[in-house]
Amino acid sequence: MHDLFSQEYAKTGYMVVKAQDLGPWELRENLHAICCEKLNEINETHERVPVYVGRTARTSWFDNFHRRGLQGPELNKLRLDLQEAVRHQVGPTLFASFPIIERLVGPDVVHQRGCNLVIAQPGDSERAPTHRDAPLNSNFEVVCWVPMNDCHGTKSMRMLNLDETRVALAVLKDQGYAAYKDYADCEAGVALEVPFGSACIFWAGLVHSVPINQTNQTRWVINHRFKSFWAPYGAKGSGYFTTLQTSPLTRLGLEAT
Amino acid sequence: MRVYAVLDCQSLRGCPPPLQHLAIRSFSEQHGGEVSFYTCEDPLTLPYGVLQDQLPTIEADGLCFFTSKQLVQKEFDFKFLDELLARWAVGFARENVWVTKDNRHELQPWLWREGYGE
Repeated sequence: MHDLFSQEYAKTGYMVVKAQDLGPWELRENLHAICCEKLNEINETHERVPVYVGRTARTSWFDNFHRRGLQGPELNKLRLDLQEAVRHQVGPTLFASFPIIERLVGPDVVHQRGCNLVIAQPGDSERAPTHRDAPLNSNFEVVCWVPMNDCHGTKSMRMLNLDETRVALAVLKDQGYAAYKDYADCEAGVALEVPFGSACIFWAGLVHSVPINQTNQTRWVINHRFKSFWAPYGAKGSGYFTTLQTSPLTRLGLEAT
Repeated sequence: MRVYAVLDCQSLRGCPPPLQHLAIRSFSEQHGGEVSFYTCEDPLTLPYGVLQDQLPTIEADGLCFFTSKQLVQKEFDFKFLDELLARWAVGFARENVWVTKDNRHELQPWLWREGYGE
């Protein structure tokens, strides 16, 4: 599997992989529990969340989140609160669930201190622009993009592969942002199919975009960044990261007097 | 007031995104605003490639930049500021000032100090 992954990753810069344990389920359960608590705090008139049991029902809860009618600052505050509540869980959980991350970044691993949670409700025009994470982030990072419900079509993310990214950046330099966006959003790339329980692991330098969610379901996605302890840190600096694990040799080296 | 935050990609080394978010959020709240969304340029889209693309869809009452230096090329870009002021109040967290089309002069002390007067 690792060899196939390496070949695919070297060719495209990204791959969709299944979790090797129940990490995404545990993360989602925690997110759900905290969200229910926060929703009741925000406004007692919001719909009380029924207690569901089972994967389908929980997926349905996340799919239908927009029915609560949260918008703008209220939704953003909830999102920030949830990010803060799960940020210590996200890095170690995803690292354990997707062992391929260690294969990509090596045994000495740092991950971002916070985490990013995206809640994209149907028709919401406020969305991340067509962009790449690096070079503002380090070119040595991988991004673990993990949906909390099934993502496909406009409920998902549009990803360009390595070759398409090179073309897109040439278009950006030569013709400006509008032409770059047209190319990335319409001509190149694919809408990722990422079922819950899987993740897209992609190189931070890949151009990607998020279409307006034209489905009738809310998209919930956590994205989190990993890199080698030793690799350059990018414009956001080392303070953006915290150490996740170091190899025995690295510990010996760092502790030697 | 609903606020759209505009982070400064050129200040990231000295002030990483969480700090810029904190500064913008805190500054906005002091002026009765709440951040609803944000954006940030790529080095290849400077000065305003991404922001200009986002402007038509921004649903906010105010735009809050991390610093007014984001509107400085060789000179301060008054033309772009006026374009923004036609639709939004504009804040600069680092300089601690909100301006509208009626009180844009309140930005002048900082501009004079930095040598960017009109």
